[in-house]
This record gives sequence, structure tokens and C-alpha cells, in this order.
Amino acid sequence: MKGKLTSLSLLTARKLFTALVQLYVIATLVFSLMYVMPGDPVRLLLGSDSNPSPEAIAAMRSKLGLDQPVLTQYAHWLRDMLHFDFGQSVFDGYPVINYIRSGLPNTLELALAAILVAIVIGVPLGIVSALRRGTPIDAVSTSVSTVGMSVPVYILGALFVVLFSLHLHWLPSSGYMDFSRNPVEHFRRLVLPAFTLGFGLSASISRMTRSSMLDILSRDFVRTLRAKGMSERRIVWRHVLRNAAIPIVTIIGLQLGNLMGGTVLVEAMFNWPGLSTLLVDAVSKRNYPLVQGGILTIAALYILINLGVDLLYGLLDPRIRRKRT
Amino acid sequence: MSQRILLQLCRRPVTCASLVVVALVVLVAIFGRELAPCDPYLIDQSAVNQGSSALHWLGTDELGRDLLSRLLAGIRPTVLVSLGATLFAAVFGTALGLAGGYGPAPLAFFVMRGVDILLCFPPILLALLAVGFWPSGIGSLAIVIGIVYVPHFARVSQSAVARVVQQEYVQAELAMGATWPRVVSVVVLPNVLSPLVVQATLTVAEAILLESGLSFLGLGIVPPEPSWGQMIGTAQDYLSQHPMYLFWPSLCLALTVLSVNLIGDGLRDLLDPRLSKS
Amino acid sequence: MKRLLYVALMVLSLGLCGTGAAHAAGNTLYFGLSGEPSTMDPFIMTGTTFRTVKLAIFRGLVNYGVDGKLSPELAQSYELSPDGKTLTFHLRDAKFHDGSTVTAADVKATFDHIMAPNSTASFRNQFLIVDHVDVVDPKTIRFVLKQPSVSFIHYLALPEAVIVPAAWLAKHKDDAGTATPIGAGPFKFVRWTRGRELVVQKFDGYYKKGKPYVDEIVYNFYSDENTRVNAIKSGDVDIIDYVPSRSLAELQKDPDVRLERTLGPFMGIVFNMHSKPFANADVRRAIAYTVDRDAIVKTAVDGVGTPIWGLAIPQGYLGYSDAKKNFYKVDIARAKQLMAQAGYPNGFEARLVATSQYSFYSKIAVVLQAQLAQIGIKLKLDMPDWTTRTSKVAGGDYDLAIIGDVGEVTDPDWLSNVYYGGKVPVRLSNSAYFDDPEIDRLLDEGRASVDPAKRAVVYQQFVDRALDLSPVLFLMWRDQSYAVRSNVTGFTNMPAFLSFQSGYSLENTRLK
Repeated sequence: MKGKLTSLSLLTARKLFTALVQLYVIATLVFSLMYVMPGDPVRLLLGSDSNPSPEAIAAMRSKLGLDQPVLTQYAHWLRDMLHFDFGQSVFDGYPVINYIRSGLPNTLELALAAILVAIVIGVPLGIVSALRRGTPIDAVSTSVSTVGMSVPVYILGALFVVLFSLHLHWLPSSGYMDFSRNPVEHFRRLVLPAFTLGFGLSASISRMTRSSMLDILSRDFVRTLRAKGMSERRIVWRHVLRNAAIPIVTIIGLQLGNLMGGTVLVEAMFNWPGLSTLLVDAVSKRNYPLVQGGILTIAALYILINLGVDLLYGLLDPRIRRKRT
Repeated sequence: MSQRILLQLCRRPVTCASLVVVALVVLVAIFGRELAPCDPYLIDQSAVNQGSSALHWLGTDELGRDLLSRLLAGIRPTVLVSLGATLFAAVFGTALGLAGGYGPAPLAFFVMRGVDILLCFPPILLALLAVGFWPSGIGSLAIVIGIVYVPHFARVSQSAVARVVQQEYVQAELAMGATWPRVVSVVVLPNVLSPLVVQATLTVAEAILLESGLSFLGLGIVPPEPSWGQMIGTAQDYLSQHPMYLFWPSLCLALTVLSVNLIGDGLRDLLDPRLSKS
Repeated sequence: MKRLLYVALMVLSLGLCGTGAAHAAGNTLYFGLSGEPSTMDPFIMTGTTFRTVKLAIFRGLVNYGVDGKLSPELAQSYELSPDGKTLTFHLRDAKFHDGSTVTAADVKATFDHIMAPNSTASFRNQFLIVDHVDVVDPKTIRFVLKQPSVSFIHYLALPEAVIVPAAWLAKHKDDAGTATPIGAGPFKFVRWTRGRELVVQKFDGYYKKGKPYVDEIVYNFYSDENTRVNAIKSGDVDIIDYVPSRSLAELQKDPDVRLERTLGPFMGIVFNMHSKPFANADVRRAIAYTVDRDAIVKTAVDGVGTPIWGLAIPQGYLGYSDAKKNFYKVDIARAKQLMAQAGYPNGFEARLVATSQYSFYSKIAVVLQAQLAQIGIKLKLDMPDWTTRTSKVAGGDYDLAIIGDVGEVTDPDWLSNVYYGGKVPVRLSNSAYFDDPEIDRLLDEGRASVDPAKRAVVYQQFVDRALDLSPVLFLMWRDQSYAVRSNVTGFTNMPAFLSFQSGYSLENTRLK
């Protein structure tokens, strides 16, 4: 046990270090990307409908520190980064960290709701198709999940909107309601975007559940249990599921990580004010600090979640081989 | 070998149907413009947002252009971008994976770490950033999307290469003095091909989705060039007036991606037994 | 177990369907804005949506009233000297939100800030005509101009020329964009939660007794058009701006929603005079006879809008004339003849800059491409995102470009921004490098003529020359609509160019 713990903590330390290095490289990449892009935020800041004087443009550039050599800007930025100071938005000097703080919870809420939907749909579907392998039920559920993977999320969303909003009038078609203003309405607004996102995710979860269960079901110990006379139900619920859980949990974790940057289209469709929406707007306005801070946050979350999944995996059972989809 | 696989694919009804769909799509991509009944760019102010009629089998869009013709014309950019992106990703990804699986240790380390880092970027954000660099067009779009999928190919080829290289017969060849380019081309590549092909089908499907997602956001293929994603994005605005405008391109897109995915599934099922369970 | 719990929660939420939530009672107005402001600096014009907020918080010496005419605000009266060079204002008793009295010193500080050489104020150019500002006494302020100008006072009505306390300017020289704004308008700033809402509250010390009528305005941001329309339909908000043209019909039918419509901005084409074919006036005239404005309105903006066959001068504005309204018409034969005359019988290639980000821009571009092909002009469409497009247009990086604009003031001098040559030859709303001495002379004369009869004559001469030379081609008036819930009264969509300043009428708005 002691040996396992030490090797585990070494492993953790190594992975953490790698994660930090990755973050640094990503940050530098993003920093350099933004400065090479065409389009000038100063122009936009000074008013897209008016004609600022060259002096005004120069003054604004210098105020924002954009006239200094790139390396100097990079150095300053690195120093700030170490203090968790992501800088200020180019347009109004509002601290980027506050922008992130307002958008991130919404993205996380959407991501978590979507994952829950995916689990609720995907896991039972996978279990059923594994237990009823080869039957029409298996075929149907496999096809449903393949369809879910293939249909682009914005078509799915449009379909849900047409069905649940325009025809049945059960749910609102878009928008965000502050929780403090009306909690019921807040959750009603969450339903369609969460389902839209979750439905596609449920496909890969159900597939993994199915294949993982099939794998366990074919194991020797299951045959032994059957021979001993244990009921099928007990075998499944008590033994198979527990063992099949690990790859399933892994893929759930991976999907959660992917969701960090994957909510862009759904947030756009349903006007859900998350981090991705802020990011897309910042990219189009060349709001460098916000783009950097946003991408860094998403990348950090992605790395952290993957790290967590890796460690959880190693902790639970290092003997089970990885199944990468 | 590939002919045998093709035949086996055709035996299953689902995969066979998918192959037919994909073949149709490719055919239309090549000959689409000629097949279209009307000019996909012809604006007709008297025929705005109409439903099916004798002249316009599937109706018209908000500028009075024939939907069917635009659907047919929209296949080519989609196919070109997704195939181009997959090719780009396959070539560069495999090369990187080869270096990662077979090259000297420090190179392999840096290559694979670099691949890991690329994977941290959410694909659509990466695409958004890159789209700002280049003027939009089929070529630049294919490259941008290709870059997003390079790491996937790199990962797949690296693990396949690493596995193959460990095999005894490879070690034997090396011991006998074979140079590494020969080993790579004669031994490594053919064995790596199977997982790469599977990855390629996955990538084609995802590239189509990513391209249409970008066009949906107004950033991918720019008007007046038609593209399914772009049509879907515009059609959303007219949902209450003209719902079929959304239906047809959505159907085409979903069907195409579904078929590609099903082919990928079929291929994996066929080729999987050859791969040792990793 | 947990799964069941979540499912139950979902079912519960689904079951709690009902009509959309009407917001809590109380005298709070919810305004759905089409975009979020990017800065709180009142002197920078970053987009029309922020003006709706600005005009709740600030007031200027004068502003445009709901009738479209200049209304004395912080100044209760003013006079222009006979030679047109001195403008004197007499301030009324008014307070800023921090309790301090509005004095001439505050006015001077404001305009010194706007006119400073390194000022970032968006309309600094319009104030270059000011020689200096004098504080005559605490309640009297005088502007001394370098040249006579009848138009100048209109620029003081701009939402970007509002008055702020001198003390505030001194304190927030460097962070005007984030500091809490202090104005003298009917509402005072409370808070701004990025991505969510901006809240302002009734200012009890407002100089118009009894106003405003609502206690609080909450601005929510809906950049997506469909969401914005849904928000007004469901009652999430009481007013929205920028109603998309395709939603007008359905909102018209909705019994709970009222549309306030006007024709506000115009869409047009500008030409780069350094781009060889377009320097030739015959080419521009040929294009003017080719473009079918009716078709553009019908296709590019869903039929909502009015084509412009002459200059974009609204009816009732100086310079408007019924006779010259339909100067141009579609005449392809004549257009081809003009092209041949110019030396381009087989046409040429050109690059049109628009944007893919706003559908009416991209659709107009597509339609233009088809139409100009009739006279041999092969357009290549360059449609980047809005930021890149703005850089290109502002930098003259185009052969032709689509612009959408308003006159900033109701005085005909607004034409200067579009037609004047001057020191800045490339601007966002003009044809790059266009410089005609006669046009400049007429505009200068119009600005300086104190006699209204003489002015009318001058501007008619201007119109004739502008139509003849056609450096800018006007396409159509865009519909500019606000949608208002039926229980809201007093909000006015101010006419024509002033539509974006309708936030002024928030002081009159009532909730029943």
C-alpha cells in the first residue's frame, strides 16, 4: 500500500508538472496568435462609426500599452499571469478575471447539465443494448446513438426548438433568466440547451457502456458466478456494473473536458451567456486579454479534468487496460 | 486487400447503404453544378421564401434562389474542405506520429507533448482564431480544420507505430541492417494503415461538422458560395415562415455524416480483430 | 438513485410550464439591448446601443427632443451672434448625480477634454471649429468659433457631447471607461454586471420635476436576434431595439406587443477614388443606373425598407426636394453606354468589401454582385468579420464598400461627414480620397450661412452636384424599429436619423 501511494504521488507530481508546462506553452501560443491577427481593436474601441484623429489613435494605443515592443508586452503579461492578473479588457479596462467569473459558472452549469442528461440517456441505453445484444433493441439503440453522434448540434437544437417550443409551447426557445430573478424559469431555460448538448454526448457514453459491459460479461469470473447459480440480475447489478464502471467514468470525464470548449455553438444558439460566448465576441473584437484569459481558463479546466480522470483511473484499478475511443 | 474489405462492407446492409450515400455525395460533388436544375446564384425577387413548386422542387431561399440547386452546389465545398482537411491532417499527423513512435527519444518526447498541447485547444475556438488569419476560402478552411485534427492522427499513428516497432520481425530486420526509411515504408506503414483509415473516416465526419459549424456561425464558407452549414444558419432565421428551408440541408448534412460514421464503424469492426486490443 | 433524483427534478421543471415569466411587479423597466456596451466613457461612440444607456444617464447643453428638434436641456436658452461665430448658453439650475450643481466650469472642462489634441473623443473633428470656450460666469458659457457655423450647435446635441462634472474628469482622466459615470440625466448609474445587466435608477434631483416616471431601468443584453424577439414576446423585457426585419410581421400580429417604426439609417456604396475605374464619374453614374434598389429591398431585407433613388436626405430635412427624389432609375442601356464612354465597354473586375457578420450586408453584397454583372463589372466579394471590415474600410482597403450610416445631426451639415474632402481623406462613411473643391466650397458656405433662404439655395446646389458626380451611391433606408409591450407608454422612436437617440424618451416612459 505504501509503495502504491508513493508511486501515485510521484505520478501526480509528474503529471502536474507536465500540466503546468502545457499551460505555459498554450498561453504563449495564444499570446502570439492574437498579435499576428489582422484587425485592430483600437479602431473598434474608438468607435466604428466615427473618424478618430491619428493623435487619438496613438494616445489610445499607448494607454493600452500596445505600442511597446512585443517582447516587453509579453514579459509584463507573464508577470501579471503569475499573480493571476489576466489584465484588463481592451475596451473598458474591466478586469478580465471578472468577465471570466461572470461567464464561467454559466458554461459549467450548462456542461454539467448536459453531462447529466448524457448519463441519464446513455448509460441505461448502453446497459440495455449490452444485455440484449443482438436483439432488435440492441440495433435500435445503437442506431439512435449513432444518429445522435452524426447530427450536428445546431440541427438537433433547431429540431428541439421546433418541437418543444414552436409546436408544443412547453419550453422557451432561448434566452437566459437569472436564477435570483426567477429560479423556475432559470431551469426551464436550461432544459433545451442541456438536452441538445447532452443528446449527442449520450451516444459515445452509451457506446462505451455497451462495449465495456460486453467485455466484462465475457470474463471468466462472470461465468464462474453463473455456474455458482447467482441470478443474472445480481451478477449484473453487483459485479458487472461495478467493474464496467471504470472505462465509463473515464469517458464521462473526457467528454466533460471536451465540453469546456465545446459549448460554443449551443451557447450561440440559445443565447446562453457562458464563457464561450464571451470568447467568441472577444475574438471578433480582437480583445486580446480577454481571449487569452478565456482560452487559458478553458485549457486549464480541460487539463485539470483530464488529470483528474487519469489519476482516478490509476487509483481505481491500474490493471485494467485503457480503452481509448 | 482493400477490395476484399470493400466487398465485406457491402455485405452488411447498413454499411452498404452508407457506401451508396457517400458515393452519391462524391458524384454530386464532382458533377453537381451540371446536375442542378437552376442556377444556384440566380436571385429572383419575385420568388422569395417559397415552398415546393413545379419550377423549384424544394422551394426557394430568402433571395429567391432555388434550394435544390444550392443544395447540390453546396456539396462540393463541403466535400473538398473535409477531404482536404483529412488529407492534411493524415499526412502531417502520421508524420508526427512516426517521429513520436519511432524517432529518437528527445524528438519523440517533444513531438508528443506538442500534440498533447494542440489537443488542449477546443477545436472550434482554434478554428475561430485561425479563420481570422486567412481570407476565407476552401483552401484555407481545409488547412485550418486539418490543423485541428493533426493531433488525432498523430496519436493514432504513434501508438500503432510504437506497437509495430516492438514486434520481433521488425527488430530482426533492423538487426539485419535494414535502413530505417526502408523499414518504415515496407514494414511500419502498411501495418499502421488500418487504424489510420478508421481515423480518417472519423475525421471526415468531424471535419464536415466543424466546417458546417463555422459556416453556421457565418465564418466558414462565405456567400455567395453555398454551403450546407451556411444554409442551415440562415434558415434558422426563417423557421416560422419557411420551415422546409431548414429541413432539406439539415437532412442532407445529417445523412452524409451518418453514412460516413457508419462506414467508419463497419471498417473498425472488420479491421479490429487484426489490431491487438490496446 | 442520484439519477432518479435528477430525472425527477427535470420532470418537475418541465411540469412547471406555463406562460413565460412576467417579471416581478414594481416600477422597473426591462430593456433588451442588441449589444453590450464596451465602455462607459460617454465621449466615445462605440455603437448605437450604448446611446440608449447614455441618454438615460447624461444630458448635454442641448439634446434632440422627441419631436426631432433641438431642445434646451442643461442650457435653458442660447443665442448665436449675428456673425455666426459666437454661441452663448445660459445654464439652468440643475444637479449632477453626485449632488453638485452644474456650472459653466463643468461645461468648459468637458469640452476642453473633448477637444484636447490627444483626446479619444469620437467627434473631436466636429469640434475643431472651436477656437476656445469661455466661462463668462457660473451660469453662462460662451463658445467662440474660428469660422461662422450655424450647424455647430447641433453637434452639441450629440450624446457624445454630454456634460460631466469637472471634478469627475479631473479624477478619472485615465479610466473614464470603467469609472462610475456621473451625469445630469434622469437616471443614475447603479451597477453593470458584465454579460448580464446594466442597472440605472431614478434620479430624484432631475431638473425636470416629476420625471422620470419609472423607478429603475434594467438593461439586459441580447445580441442574438431570435432571442431578443422571443424576450419581448414572452414579456421578459418591456422594450427591445433593432427588431430584425423578418420578425416585424409576427410582432405586428402579437396583441401584447406594439411596434415603433421609423426609417432611420441608410445603406449605400462608397467608392475608392484611387481605384482607377471609380475615379471616373461616368463609371459611378453607370452603376447608379444599374443598381435596382427595389430588388435589393425586396430580397436583401425581406421587403422592409424604402429604396433611395437620389440622395439620402429625409423628408423635412433641409436639402430634401420631391423633384430630385427619383433622380436615378434602372436604365441598363444608358449604363452600358456610360461604361463605354468611360472606356470600359467590357467592364472590369473590382473588390467589394462588406461583412459576413450582418446578414443584410452580406445579402446586399450578393445581390449587387448579380446586378453589376449586367454591365460587365465582375465583383469579388470580400466579406470578413465586422472588426476586419471596419479596419479595411477605415483604411481605404477596398475598391467599393457597403456602408450603413446615419446623419449624426439633423442639420444638413451631416453631409460633410460623407462628402467633404478635408484633412482626413479616408473615413468610415465617405468614399476614400474623394475631394471635390466645389463640393467642399458649397458645404462650407452652407455651414456658415446665417440666412435660411440662402442656405436652402446653397444646399440645392450641393444636391445637384452630388447627384451628378455620384461619389456615394445610396441604396435604401433601413427600417429601424423598437418593439414595446402594450403596457408601456411614453417611449418614442425618434424620427429618421434620431432613431438611435430614442433613449432620450426614457424619461417619458411609463409602465401601466
